[in-house]
Amino acid sequence: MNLNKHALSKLFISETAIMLFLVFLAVGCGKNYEAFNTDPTRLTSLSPDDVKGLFPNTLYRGMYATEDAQGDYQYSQGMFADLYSQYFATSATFDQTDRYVIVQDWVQNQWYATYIAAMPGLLTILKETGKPESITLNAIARIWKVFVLHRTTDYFGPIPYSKIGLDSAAIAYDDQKDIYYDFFKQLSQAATDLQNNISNPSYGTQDIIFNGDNTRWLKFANTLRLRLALRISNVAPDKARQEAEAAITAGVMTDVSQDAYLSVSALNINGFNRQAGWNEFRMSAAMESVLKGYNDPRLPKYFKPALATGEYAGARNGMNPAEIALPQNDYDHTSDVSEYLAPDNMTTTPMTVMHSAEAYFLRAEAALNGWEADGTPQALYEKGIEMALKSWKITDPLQISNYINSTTVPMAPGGYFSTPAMTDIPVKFSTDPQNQREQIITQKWLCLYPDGHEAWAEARRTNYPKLYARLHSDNPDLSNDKMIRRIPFVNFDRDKNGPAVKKAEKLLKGPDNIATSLWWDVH
Amino acid sequence: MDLTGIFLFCLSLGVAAKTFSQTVTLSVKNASVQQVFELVKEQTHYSVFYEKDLLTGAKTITAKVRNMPLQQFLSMTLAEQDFTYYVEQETIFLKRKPISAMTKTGKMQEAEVFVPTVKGLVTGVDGKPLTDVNVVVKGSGKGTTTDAEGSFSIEVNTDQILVFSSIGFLSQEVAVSSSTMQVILAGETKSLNEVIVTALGIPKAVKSLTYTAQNVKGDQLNEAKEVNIINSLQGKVAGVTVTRNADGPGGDTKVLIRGNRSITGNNDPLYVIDGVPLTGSVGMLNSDDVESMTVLKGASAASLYGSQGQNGAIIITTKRGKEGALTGNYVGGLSFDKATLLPDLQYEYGQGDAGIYAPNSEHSWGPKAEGQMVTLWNGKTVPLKGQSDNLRDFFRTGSNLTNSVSVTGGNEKMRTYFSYANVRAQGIMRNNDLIRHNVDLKIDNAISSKLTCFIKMTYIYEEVNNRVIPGDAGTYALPSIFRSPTSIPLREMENYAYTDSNARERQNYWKPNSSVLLNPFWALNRITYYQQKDRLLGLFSAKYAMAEGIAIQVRGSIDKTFQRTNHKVYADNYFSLVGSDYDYGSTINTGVNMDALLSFRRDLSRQINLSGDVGASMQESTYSGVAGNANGLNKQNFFFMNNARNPFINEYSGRTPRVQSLYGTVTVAYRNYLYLDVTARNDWSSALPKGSQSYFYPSVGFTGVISDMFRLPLWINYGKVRATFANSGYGGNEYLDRNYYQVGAGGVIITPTIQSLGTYKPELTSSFETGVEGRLFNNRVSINVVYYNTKTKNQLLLIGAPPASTFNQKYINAGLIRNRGVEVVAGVMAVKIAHFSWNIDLNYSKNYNKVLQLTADVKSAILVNSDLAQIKAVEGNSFGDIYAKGWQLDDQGRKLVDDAGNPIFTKGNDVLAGNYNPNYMMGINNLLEFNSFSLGFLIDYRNGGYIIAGTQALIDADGHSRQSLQGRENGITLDAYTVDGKKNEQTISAQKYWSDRGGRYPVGSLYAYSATNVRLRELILGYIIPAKALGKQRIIKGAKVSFVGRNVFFFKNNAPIDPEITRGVGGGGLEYAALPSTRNLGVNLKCTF
Repeated sequence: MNLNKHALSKLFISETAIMLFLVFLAVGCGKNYEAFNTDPTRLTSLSPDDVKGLFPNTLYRGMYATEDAQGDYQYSQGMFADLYSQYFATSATFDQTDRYVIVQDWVQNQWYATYIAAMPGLLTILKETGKPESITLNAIARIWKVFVLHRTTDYFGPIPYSKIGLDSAAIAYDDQKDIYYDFFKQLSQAATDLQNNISNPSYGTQDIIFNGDNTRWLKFANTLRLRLALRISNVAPDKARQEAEAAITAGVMTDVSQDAYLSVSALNINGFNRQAGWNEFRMSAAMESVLKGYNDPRLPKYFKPALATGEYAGARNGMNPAEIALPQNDYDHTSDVSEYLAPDNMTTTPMTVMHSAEAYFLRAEAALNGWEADGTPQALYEKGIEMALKSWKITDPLQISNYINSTTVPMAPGGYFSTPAMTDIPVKFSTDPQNQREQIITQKWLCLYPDGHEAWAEARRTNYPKLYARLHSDNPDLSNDKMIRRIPFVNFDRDKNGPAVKKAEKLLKGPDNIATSLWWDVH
Repeated sequence: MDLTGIFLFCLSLGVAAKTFSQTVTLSVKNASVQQVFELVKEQTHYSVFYEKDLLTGAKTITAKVRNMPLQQFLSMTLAEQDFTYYVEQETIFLKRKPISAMTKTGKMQEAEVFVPTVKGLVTGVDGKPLTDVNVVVKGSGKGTTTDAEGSFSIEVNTDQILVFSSIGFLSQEVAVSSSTMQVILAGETKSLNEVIVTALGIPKAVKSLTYTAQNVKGDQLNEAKEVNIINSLQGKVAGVTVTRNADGPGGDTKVLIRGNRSITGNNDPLYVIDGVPLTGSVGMLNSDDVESMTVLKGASAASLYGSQGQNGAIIITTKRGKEGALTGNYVGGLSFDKATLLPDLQYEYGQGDAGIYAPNSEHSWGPKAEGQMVTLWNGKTVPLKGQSDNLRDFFRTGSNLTNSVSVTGGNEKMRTYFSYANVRAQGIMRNNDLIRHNVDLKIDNAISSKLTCFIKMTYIYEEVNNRVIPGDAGTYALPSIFRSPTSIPLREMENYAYTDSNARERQNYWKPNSSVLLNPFWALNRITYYQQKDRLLGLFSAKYAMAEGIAIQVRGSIDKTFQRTNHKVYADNYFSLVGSDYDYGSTINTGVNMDALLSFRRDLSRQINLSGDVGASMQESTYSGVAGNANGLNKQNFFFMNNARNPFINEYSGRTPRVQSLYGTVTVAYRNYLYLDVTARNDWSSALPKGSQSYFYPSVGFTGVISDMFRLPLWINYGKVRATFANSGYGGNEYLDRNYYQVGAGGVIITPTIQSLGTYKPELTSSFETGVEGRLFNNRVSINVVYYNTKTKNQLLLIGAPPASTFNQKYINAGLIRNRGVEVVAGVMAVKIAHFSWNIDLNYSKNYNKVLQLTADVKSAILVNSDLAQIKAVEGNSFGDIYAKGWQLDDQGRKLVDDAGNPIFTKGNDVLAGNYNPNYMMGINNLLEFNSFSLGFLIDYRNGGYIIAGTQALIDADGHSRQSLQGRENGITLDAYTVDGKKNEQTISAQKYWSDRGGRYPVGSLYAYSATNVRLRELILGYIIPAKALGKQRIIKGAKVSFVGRNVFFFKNNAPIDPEITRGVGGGGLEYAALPSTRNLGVNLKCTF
């Protein structure tokens, strides 16, 4: 080959110079790469104020409320606990959850809200508030963490608890007993920490439940401890009594002024009111039987008359699509929620977290158990009713005492299914201890409305109120006449945390289905 | 039908053809034509055919040639005759020249050489006139192009030289020696010497390519027009899958080249326009401006594009100004769309449930519809009858009207191309329409003999009303019409609103306040979306020829899109709790590219040429916008942000990674038959963690033109082998190296849901590709076979994290995916006889995908999680497996039912229902030409793959589907067993059975349909309007009219939907209340003036 050497050398001289220029061009401006790769619209680190700023979202998401159109609340609670507590029946033909079919695509939102929305903020707060000067912040975050997770464990039983936040391919579940025992530890310690630093400033306006009032958080923590103590009273009576008495001594809620409400706004709307907008929830026959039978002054506070008839009417739980589609059962012939709980007020009606009335009903039950509850069962029961009515702005003393002394009993809704009365107990406190227990829990059920989460848990524990059998079950694991005992583990976690879920199945008392009871559930 | 059969048949036809490489040696003076042909016949054994009177008055021939190829000899000797020739099957046919050419020639006889106008005819070797050939007077900048008849006329002096050139043909210089001339451009070697634009805009001879690049001419793409030009690629390029999003005119399109390579990342190819990567959507471009599209397949072809080119690249070259007199083009098209493959409904049973008529029911489980009188929800009494025209009448006939005008002209110093186009399209949804205007100006300017520059300005305006959003989102019109009871007359639905006693507008629906559906007409008119875009594309490039063989080019481009949107929801709507609601958005997206490229070409010796390019580039994009949400309006149905009840404004901005690169390529050619191609590129991406922002990847390719190296049998005209190894890298998206906290509405701090990776490596794709190409039997058969093997590792996978880790998803840097495949591109000139030809082109591609590895402890990743099914990547399987709920089976594989006879289905997505990717795909394109008529049709075959038909599940559950007729009267006794192993004897109602398996959360595996289908994708009947029909007017020089059909019909399709149309651009395999596929028929007119 005869290479043209001259041409080649000339080529290399001129081109090398240009190449060097290009190298300079390319590499020279690579200095500010970190600035290029920093998102200007988000934060990479948190100031102490930002740490407090994490709190509202954990409160809000812990109550399954979202600002987006889908709404965790309906998927987490409305479609499940609110139907199983028989506050509501569904008027949507496609909603099979009322017939015990667990739609995984829905219930996974509860898991999401807990672990991906509420927990990260709480864990970050706990990590950032380890110093003595921020101990009140830390204690309040611990209390809220127990509140959020007690609802989750009461759905599923074993859940990831001690290993939350671990960066691992599989995160183990804890036994429900261990979780409950740790709840008590956390609550008593947090209450002590809070008591000892009660005058320290906490979250201030970022606390959208108590607006920075440490004393109210303290009472809330003790009431929650009392709630959890009674929950385990059938399975661990000694521990239950010990925790309950300690909580009562430390000071539980005693007045409606201490009630816990999550305040809402245009940006953080009320999840319950929002779900009412889908027009899929109607007063249940159980609610109809009791509220109408008792001539309960809360009836118009809770519901409104049916559109087509102007009458209050309930719907049976577990109707099949054809039954729902019948005119007499459809949503125009049954009662929707009241205006106060309807979408028009979703930016103003606060979400109920806990009522002081519940504390009285818990103490009444504790007294009935023979525990030290600072009052007789009857006195506490009647005070509970008074507080419950006051929570709904029913304050006329005569109206209250008339109700407390009323001897009318629940009515028979009749209708297409010839529904009988739900039970035969009146409001007036009975002399029979068995009836007394039913009365206490039935009144608590009325008072907890619309918190189906707590109502369903207590219905499983106590078998009260005596709810109707469902008309149909479409789930082969459980017949329609039996109460659903739990929600199966979510596919959402099976897909991403499979090995841990497999192991968790062994922590259950039976197969992973809706018929298996939780640890505390020995009905 | 076995489609390969056709191909083999054509192949055998091709074999019968004989080679055409005869030469002539003779010396004659003033011989008659007949005498000359006698000599030719003797020497070549070819026969000569002509009409009896044709040679009357023919001029005598004087010639002296030695071993001159026959065609050249014929061209030379017959140039000045009134007749021309073509050769077919060892026969020389003489035929009269086209009238226009002849009359011109005839008139010229007396004028002779001093008239400075030369007229002539340019044909291919087959005698067919060539249009749009550039005819330029050398050195003067003066030029013209040939018209539809192949004729041209130009003012020129006798001593000047005319240069004839056209894309794909060898240029030819001809000295002007008479006032008429016939020029034959070498056509048979056109593809061999064809130059295509490759990566970075570097033109290369097809012959020298070491990888696969398939070129499609603009004309081929435009003839059957699509509003989005990318859709026209379907079936024309091997290995390319085009999936249209079902969202009406101008919708987005997903293009996949050689399968999915990245698990959770981006599998879209890079679009490059005139050498510069495109930032915004390609679908908005004016298809008539496209000169050609080259598909660079695989990482090797696009290795010079680096990150962006990992999935292959589609290089779009647009038309530029041409030298010569002002010429213009007009293309107009009008076509109509009609919905096809509508859901298959039943019309035997009416509205209601459990066999009872109910005017408020949203189901068709009512009584047998036998014309009995019933009262509708609106109080009207009508006979209960299946309304079989409802669906058909709900969808209107869509129309697309396109107009495009372009003019070009200039001289050697400056050439201009200007075009304006508009599109007016109406979708088959009554509220969906699109208007688009495109203006394009391009100027090539030679500032000096060494410095040339090119400038391009494109402006696009687009307005879309109610782009169709399939499924449960959007207006909800599609689910509502599919799910309307089949006995409600459509005209009753059409009165979608009424005014209540408070003078408020209310929705007129059969189940007021339903949480399930809406009146479909209300949905069309009372939930609206509006989108408006202004887009500016600018490109500047300057090229300086520093010395012989060395040039430097600098380019800069910007692509800026301003978009405004609004979304109006009227009061009394299922979606809006707060009465009416309003959203608006305003965004600006800007993409900037800059690059410099130094090119050199040197002959190192007479046998070795060296050419290469060295370059550097920088690119980045920014985005910013505001989105306002009214959260309810104070005055109802008054859509204005000042009227917002709780306005919330969200502002966002960001930038994509800045990627800076240095790259180079060197090609060494030995005797123009051996080529070695080496490329190297280094990228610096700002997305990567600090300290590891740089990554390097090389490629090496080799090509040998065997037919030039060795003496091959005569029937092999051309043969080439090649192989390439290439690497390509990808630095990932922006902002992945840290966890960010978001400041949400009201100033609250929100934790991240995706866990970032502190440090990671760039994704790396390595590919090997080898192929052979050949042209056989006198170039009548061409074949191109490719095998490739691509592996992608270090993928930035976004996988599901255990929720209790407090993250929903996390990034990992792992995974290994392999794509292996074969592509065959073949062409056959099946028939070529007088006045008639039939060309067949075939594309075949098969891709095997395997997920070799995810991570050490993750064996399966969910790609798409929907109500219908999950799409997963499972180690050891193929990307895109569909897992869904299925029938619970016992140990013996028998279906299970409960004691009441109800089916028992699995509770999770645990049944493999199939994979959505096709086994193989094939396109057969036929072009038949008969004189001025042409007929083209493209048959498209997709074999394999599955799709979950969600619409079918909905209409089954509601009792609207034909399928749901089963068991209406006597119930359904499922052929199944109970958990205890007893044969089922219980009967359940049809409504129970179908609503259990169907609905919004269906048993997905029962709705998995094979996506195998064969369709007539394209049908084009073209007619070149003869010059005489255009009359004496001089304005229109040529015209062609075509009747076109797209998506004409299916030869075979077993799915209840068009399997090509899926729920969204992102994922395949899932359909849910999608817009039906359409058949498009229309007419196009093309004029040159």
